[in-house]
Amino acid sequence: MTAKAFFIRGVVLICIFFFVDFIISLFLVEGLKKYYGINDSPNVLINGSSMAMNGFNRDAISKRSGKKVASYSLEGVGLGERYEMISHFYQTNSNVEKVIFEVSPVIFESSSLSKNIYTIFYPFMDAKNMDTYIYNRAPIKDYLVHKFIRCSRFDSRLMRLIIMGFMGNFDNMKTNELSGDEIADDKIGFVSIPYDETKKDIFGETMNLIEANGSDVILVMMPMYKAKYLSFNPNEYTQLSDYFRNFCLNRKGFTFIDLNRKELIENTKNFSDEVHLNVNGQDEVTKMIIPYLQ
Amino acid sequence: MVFTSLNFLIFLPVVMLLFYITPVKYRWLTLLISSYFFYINIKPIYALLSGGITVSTYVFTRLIDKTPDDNKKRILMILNVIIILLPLLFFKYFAVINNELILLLDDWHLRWPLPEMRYILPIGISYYTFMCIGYTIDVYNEEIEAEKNIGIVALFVSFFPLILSGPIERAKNMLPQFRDFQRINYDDLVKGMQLMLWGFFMKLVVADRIAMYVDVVYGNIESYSGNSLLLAAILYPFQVYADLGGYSLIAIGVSKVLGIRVIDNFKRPFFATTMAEFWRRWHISLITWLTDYLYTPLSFSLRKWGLWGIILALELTFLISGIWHMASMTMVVWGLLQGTFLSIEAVTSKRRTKFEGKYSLSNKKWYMLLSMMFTFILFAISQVVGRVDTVGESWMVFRKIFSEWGSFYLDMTTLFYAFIGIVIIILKDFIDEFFPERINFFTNKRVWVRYSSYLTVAFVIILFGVLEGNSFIYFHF
Repeated sequence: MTAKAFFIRGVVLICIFFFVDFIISLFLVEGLKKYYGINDSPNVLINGSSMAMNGFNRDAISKRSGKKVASYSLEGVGLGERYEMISHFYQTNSNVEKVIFEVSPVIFESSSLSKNIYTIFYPFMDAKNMDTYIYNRAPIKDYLVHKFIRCSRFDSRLMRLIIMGFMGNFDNMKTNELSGDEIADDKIGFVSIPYDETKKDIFGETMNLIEANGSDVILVMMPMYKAKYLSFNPNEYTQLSDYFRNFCLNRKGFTFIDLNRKELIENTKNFSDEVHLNVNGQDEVTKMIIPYLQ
Repeated sequence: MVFTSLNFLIFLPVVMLLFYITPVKYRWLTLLISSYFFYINIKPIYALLSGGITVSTYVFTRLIDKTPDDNKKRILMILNVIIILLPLLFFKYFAVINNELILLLDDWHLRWPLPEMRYILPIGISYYTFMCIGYTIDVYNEEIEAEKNIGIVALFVSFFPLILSGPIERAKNMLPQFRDFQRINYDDLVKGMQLMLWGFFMKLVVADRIAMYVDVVYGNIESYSGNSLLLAAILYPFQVYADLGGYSLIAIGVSKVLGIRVIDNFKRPFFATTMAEFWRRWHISLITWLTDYLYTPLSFSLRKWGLWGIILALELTFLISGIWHMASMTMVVWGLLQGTFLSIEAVTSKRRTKFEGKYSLSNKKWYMLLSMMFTFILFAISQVVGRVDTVGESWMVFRKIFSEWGSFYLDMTTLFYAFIGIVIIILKDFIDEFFPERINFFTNKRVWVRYSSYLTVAFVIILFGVLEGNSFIYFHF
């Protein structure tokens, strides 16, 4: 092989690589959007973290309410990330009537996120706000690699979601039930509920963003198993609930629901662990949320 | 800077560019500077150590070469081997033995005069130490002349594609290539890149994926059932193969794009039908080194003992191989196990050949398959001992495999990807073993087949690889 042939073939191969990379990434993003339901002008948006992911059955809500539902929730996200997700969502969706917004006793926690939380947004880094979010947090090398090699934005974990998206399978995969071993019964005293002012501001900004886009909001205090629920300082829990209740009272189209109801949280069969619902619990919660969507 | 890091993917093209624009006469200097930059980048102090070993090797090999007296030559050779071995013995064994003695004496309420030592083993020391010993012995045996240019010797010791985990090269192969670099060969460039691509696949897609299961199970042996441990024991040999085999292919590929030919390190080991054949296919550079510098002289000196001499030489060779891997009782047992397997094969060799001949078994596919499986099982058993921290733990693994089956730890996503990866590797090895010219992708005559293969492997690595910069298993050795 001559030098000329080598370089021509090299350049051709690189060009083909970037072209194929572009095509595959478009296909994968489409699958991911299908999984979250954010490509189909949904009427209802569910947003939250793993509690919401496991808590709501998108299909069942859609069938029973007759509305298109998106479940744009990601594991491990905080309020800052959820603001970006909702902002990203509204860039391509404008017909949203209601947003089901997950809240929990730790929603105003100051810093519990992993340092590389930005990686979860790599697939959507074509969106300007996501790109800026990643640029401000990721090491420049990582940012550039993911910017230019588009398929590097996806990993094997996302592949599963993409396949589920194309197959239209949105089931809660957690079928195990909470066992006695997993229940921490040696708690001493109450756990204080964190209350970071900055997080509260982000929460307010997020609510303003949703309101500005003309959607109603249902703040849902996600259920957790009794032992976990009772571990929080009861006075502080009441204060937090009152804060959300008053917040909703002062805004038109805002509703607050506390799902930490006795019939739900006392049954181990509803939970896969102390804070996450399994498929049974999801069914119960789905039934409870339907009336609020009518 | 490891091969799978982004830094290396930037470093390599820069080195290639510098290398090829440098006049042929000075290319060794470009590679030497690049190699030291690469090694210093890991930890600067390591470079001092390899530099010291280089100087010692250079001085002593020159002295051996110049000295006419055989006895003096022998003393100089032994002296250099001892000097070269000292850092390895200190970092790899002395600290371990010292700390074990502290613990042991503490149990008897006695005090050991030295404090506890916690040194990190300099990466690559086991490899370049063996390379320097081999070079010294080769000069002593007058198989090669001592190199006059210390820079070339330094490059031999520190050549960046090989310094971290081999292959353990020989001076007689490397020094002539470093003295006289060839003109750029584009076919070699392409071949080198193909090897690197497949090496990345083996490491990132297969080895690191299997590690996600194996590390979890072996990390907490007590908590996992026998069936989970059995699965981990079956998967681990594939992990090591994909890890070290992948590393070796990248190292050979990187060398090739720089115009340097390096020996193969693996040759489809899981298609071996006996343990002896297995060791001719697995970590070839280490085994040939051990054969040439240890087993052959040992078996020669023990030849008067007949078969027992061979058995003793095998046991000693693999015992040292085990200790070379790691200063631990598990690796001692690992070495003895390998030696025992090979000894049994040596003892039964004649009878087995006769039996196979009588029933014409050698050509029967089912018999070959059974032999391959049996060889794999023997290796997997030894790898259980090699993988755990203590001999007691290995016993626990075997005990649980045979008696405590319970809930199966199934990380389905990980196992699914690992299984697919293993099938692809075995399939490729199968084609290379039995149909080397009939089915090929990277070397296909049709351009579109080659390009499609490159792109498919590249995208599989990007999408399914574990791109978290995991270390290589053999860095610990």
